[in-house]
Amino acid sequence: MTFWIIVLAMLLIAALFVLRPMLRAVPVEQAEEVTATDIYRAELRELNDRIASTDGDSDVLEAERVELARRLLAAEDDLKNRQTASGATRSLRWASVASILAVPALVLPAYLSIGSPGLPDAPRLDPSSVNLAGQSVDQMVLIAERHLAKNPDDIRGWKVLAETYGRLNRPLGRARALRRVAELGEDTPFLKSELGEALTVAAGNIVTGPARRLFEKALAEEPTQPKANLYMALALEQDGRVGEALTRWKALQATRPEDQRFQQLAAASIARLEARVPSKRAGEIAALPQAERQSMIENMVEGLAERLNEEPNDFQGWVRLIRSYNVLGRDAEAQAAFGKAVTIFAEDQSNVGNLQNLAKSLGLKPAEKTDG
Amino acid sequence: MIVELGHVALLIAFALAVIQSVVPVWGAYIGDRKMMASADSSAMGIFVFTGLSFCALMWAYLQSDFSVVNVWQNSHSDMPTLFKVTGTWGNHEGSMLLWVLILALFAAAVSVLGGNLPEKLRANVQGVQAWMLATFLAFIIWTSNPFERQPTAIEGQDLNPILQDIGLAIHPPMLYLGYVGFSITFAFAIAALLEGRIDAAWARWVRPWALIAWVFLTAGIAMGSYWAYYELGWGGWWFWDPVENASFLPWLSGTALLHSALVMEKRDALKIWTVLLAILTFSLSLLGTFLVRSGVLTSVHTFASDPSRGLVILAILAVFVGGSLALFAVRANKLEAGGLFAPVSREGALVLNNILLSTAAATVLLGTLYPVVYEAITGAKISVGAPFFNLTFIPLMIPLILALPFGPLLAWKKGDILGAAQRLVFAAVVGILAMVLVLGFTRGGSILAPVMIAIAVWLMVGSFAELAQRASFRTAGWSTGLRRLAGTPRSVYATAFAHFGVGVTMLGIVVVTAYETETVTALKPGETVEAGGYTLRHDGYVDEQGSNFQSQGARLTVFLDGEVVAEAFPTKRFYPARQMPTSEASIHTFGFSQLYFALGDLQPGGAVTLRIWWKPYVTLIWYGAVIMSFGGLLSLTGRRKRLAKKAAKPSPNAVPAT
Repeated sequence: MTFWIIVLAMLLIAALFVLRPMLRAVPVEQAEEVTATDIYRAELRELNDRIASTDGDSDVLEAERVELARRLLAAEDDLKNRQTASGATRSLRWASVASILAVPALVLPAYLSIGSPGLPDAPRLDPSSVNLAGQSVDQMVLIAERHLAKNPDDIRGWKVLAETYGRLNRPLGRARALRRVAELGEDTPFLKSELGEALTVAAGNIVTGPARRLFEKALAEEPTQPKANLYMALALEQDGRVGEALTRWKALQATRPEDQRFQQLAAASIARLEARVPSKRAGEIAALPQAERQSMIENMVEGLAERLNEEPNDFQGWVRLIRSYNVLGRDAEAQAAFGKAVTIFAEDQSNVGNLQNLAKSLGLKPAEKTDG
Repeated sequence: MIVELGHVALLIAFALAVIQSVVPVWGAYIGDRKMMASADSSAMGIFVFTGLSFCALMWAYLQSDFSVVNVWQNSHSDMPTLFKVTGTWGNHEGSMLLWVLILALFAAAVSVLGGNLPEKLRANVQGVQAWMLATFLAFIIWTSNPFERQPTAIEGQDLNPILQDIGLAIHPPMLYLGYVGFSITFAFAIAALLEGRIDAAWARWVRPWALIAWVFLTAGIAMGSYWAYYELGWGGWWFWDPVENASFLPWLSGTALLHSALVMEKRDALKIWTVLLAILTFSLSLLGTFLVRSGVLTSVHTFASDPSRGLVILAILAVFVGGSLALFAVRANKLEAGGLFAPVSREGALVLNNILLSTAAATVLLGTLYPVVYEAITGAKISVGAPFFNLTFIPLMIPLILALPFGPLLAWKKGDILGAAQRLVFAAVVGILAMVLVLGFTRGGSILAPVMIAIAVWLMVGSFAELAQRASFRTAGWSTGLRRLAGTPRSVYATAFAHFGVGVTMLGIVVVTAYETETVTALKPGETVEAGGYTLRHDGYVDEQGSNFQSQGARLTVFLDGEVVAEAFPTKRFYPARQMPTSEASIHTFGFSQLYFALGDLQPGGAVTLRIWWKPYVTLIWYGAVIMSFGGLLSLTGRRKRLAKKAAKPSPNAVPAT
C-alpha cells in the first residue's frame, strides 16, 4: 500500500514538472536573449577601442569596421522580420490534458508488465542468519568458506567443510580443510589417514609419496588404524608387490570380523590379488634382491623418460613418469618432468588441470599459468 | 521497495521524455510560448527522475541486493565499498543508465544556463534532446533493464577484476560527459536546421557546450589511456583498440568543431560546415556507443556485450545519423553562406586544421570499421593494428603540428605569413637546438626521433609566440610587457595552453616510443639485475589475502648508484569468484619518467619472470592532455567573463549568462 502511495506521489510530481509552466496564469517572461546583433555590437565596441588606441594597422581595422557594421545592419533586419511568439494558444489546452494523461498512461501499464510491484528489497544478510533450506550445496559451501575465512580457528567448522568436500568429491578442498584441522592441534592417526585418503583420491586413487608417509605415520602411532592399513595394502599392490599386498590383506581380514563392509572389501581385494598371478617379469622383479630390483625399476623409468623425449605427446606416459620419479623419491626430476609436461600440453586446459592436480597431490610446486 | 521505486522513476523519466519530445517542438511550430517553456521544467524532471533511478540502483549495489539480477551478475558482497559504487556503471545496463543520466544532466543544464537563448531555438534544442532521451530510455527499459529481479541469491558473481580499479571510478563518467556533451551541439545543429536559420549568435551558444564536452572527453581519453597503461600490465598506453578509437573519433571531429565554430562566431563563415561537424561529432559518439555495446568488435572494453542489443543500437544509430544527415541535405541550402577570406588568414589556417583533423578522423574510422565490413562481406577475420594507424594517422598529424603555431599569429581575413614566420624563428631555433642536444646525448637509433622531438619542441615554444608578441618585452620593457600580458584576453592564454599541451603530449609519445627500454628477466629472491640504468634486488615473495582476491607479489628494492630510490611491489592477483587472474604493475615515477614492473610467471626453482620497462618522459603524454583540458577550461571561464560584461543592461530577472 505504502508503495502505491509513493508511486502515486511520484506520478503527481512528474505531471507537475510538465504542467507548471503550461498552467501558469502569467505569461512567461521573455528571458533576455543574446542575439547576433548583440555580438556584433560588442565586437564593434572592441574594434572602436582598438582603433582609438591605434593598436594595429588602421586601414585593416577600418575595413573590418565597415564589414562589421554591414553585418550588424543585416542582423538587425533579420531580427525585425522574425515572428515573435504569441501567448497561449488553443493547442496549449490539448497539450496540457495530453500531458496529464500521458504520464500514468505510459508508466503504469509498462511497470505492471515488466516490474515486480511491491517486491521488497533483499539486501544481503549475514550468512549465519540466512535460512539454509532451499540453498544449493555450492552456496552453502560458499557460506562455510566465508565463515571460516573470518574464523579460521573454528575446528568444528573445518571438519564439517572437509566432510562436505568429501561428499562433493572435491578431494583437494577436503585435504585443505583437513590440514587446517591438523594445524589446529587435532593431528590424530585418524586425521592423518583421512588426509592420506583425500590425497590418494585427488591423485586418481594412486597412493602417492606424501599420502604414503601419512599412512606410515598414522600406523606408527596406532598400528590398527583401519583406513591407514587398508591404503598401505593398496600402496603395496600399486607398487607391484602383489604378494606382500596379499599377505597384508589376509592379516587385515582377521582384525575386524564384525565389520561387514570391511570384510566384503577385504574378500574382494584378496580375490583380485590372487587372480592377478604375478606376470613373469613382475615375478622376476619381485624375486630379485632389493638393490637389483631398485636398479631395474630405475632403468625402466629412464627408458620411459627417453621414449617421452622422442614422442612427447603421450599424456598418460608423462603422468606415469612424474609418479614414478615421485615414488623413487627423485623430487627434483619429478618437478622438472612436470614442468615439461605443462609446457607440452599448455594448449589443452583439461590436461593442464589434471597435471596441476597431480602435482598438488604429489607435493610439487604448482606451475604458473601462462596468461596473455 | 527502493529498487522498485527506482524502476518506476526510470519509467516516469521515459514518460516525461516522450512528452518533451512533442510539446515544445509543437509549441515552437505554432508559436505557443507556454508550451515552449514547458521544456525547461520537464528537462529538469527527467534529470531528477533518472537521477533517482540511478541512486536506487547504486543503493542496491551498496546493499548487495542480489535479488536484482544486475547486481547479482556484477557484484560480490566482499568487494570494497568503492567498487560496489563504481560497479554500478561497470556493466552494460548500469553504464547505459549513467549515459542517459548524463544526457539528462546536459538537457537540465540547457534549461538552467540557456536563459539567453531565443526561446524557439531553446525549445527545439530541448525537443531534440528529448528524442534522444526517450529513445535511449526505451532502449534501457526494454532491452537492458537494470531493475530486473530474481529470487535472491546468497552471493554475487563479482565484478570483472580488471574493472575493480579506481580508474573505473572516474574514467567512464568523464568519457560519457564528453561523448554526451556533444549531444547538445548536435541538438543545436538539428534545431538550427529545423528553424532554417543560423548566425554568429548560434556559434556563440554552441561553443561553450562543445568546449565543456571537449574538455571532459580529453580528460576521459587520457584517463582511459593511463588506466590501460597500469592495469593491463603490458606497459602500453595506446593500443589503437576499436574502443579507444571510438572515443578518439569524436575527439578529432570535436576539436575540428571547436575551431570551425570559432570561425563562424568571429567571421560568420563556415556555417554549413560547422553544422555538419556538429552532427558528425555526435554521430561518432553514438557509433562509439554502438561499437562498445554491440560486441561487433572485440576489445578489452566489451564487457557484457550482447549482439541482439547491438542490433537495436544499430537501428537507433541509423535513425539518428541517417535522419540528421537527411535533414542536413534538405535544409543546409537554406542556411546562408558567410563571409569571404583569403587563403592565408586565420580562417584559412583553421580550415587547414579542419581538413587535416577530419581526414585523420576518416582514416581512423576506416581502420576501425574495415575489419567489421570485411568480415561481413568475406566472413574472414582480420585486424587492423598499429602499423596502419602509424602509417596513415601520423603523416596527417605532422603537417598539422608544423602549421599549428602559425594559426594564432595570422590575422583574420588576410594574414601575413612572412611576419608570422619571423615571430616563430625563436621557436624553430629552440626546436633545432633540442634536436642537436638529443643527437649529441644519444647513440644510434633512427634520425626520425630527434626530428620529431624538434617538431614537438617547436610546437611547445611556438604556442606562446602570440603571447610573446603581445608582450614584446624586448621593445616595450618588462613592466609594460607584463601589463600587456595582464590585459590580454583569456582566450589567447587558452589557445596557448591547449596548443602547448598538444606539444607536450607529442614530446612524451616520441621520447617514450624511441628511447624506452624493456628488460625481461627471471629473478630469484636475493638476486639483482640491471634494468634501465637502475639496479633491482629481489627481496622475496609476499602473499596477501585481499577482501575478494588472493595476491602474490615480489618485493623489489630499486637502487641508483648504490642508493635505495624506490621499493617496488608488483603483484599478481587471483579473483576466485570469476576465476580470473590480473596483473598489478608497480610503477615508480622519477621526474617525468617511469620505471614500470610487471610480474610474470613463477619458474621452477623459485625464480620469477619480471618485465621491467624504463619509460622516459612517459607521463608527459597525460600531462599534455591535462594541459589541453586546462586550456579548454580557461577558454570557458574567459567567455563567461566577456558575456557578463556585455550583459550590462540591468534587468530585474536577468538569467545568469552562459
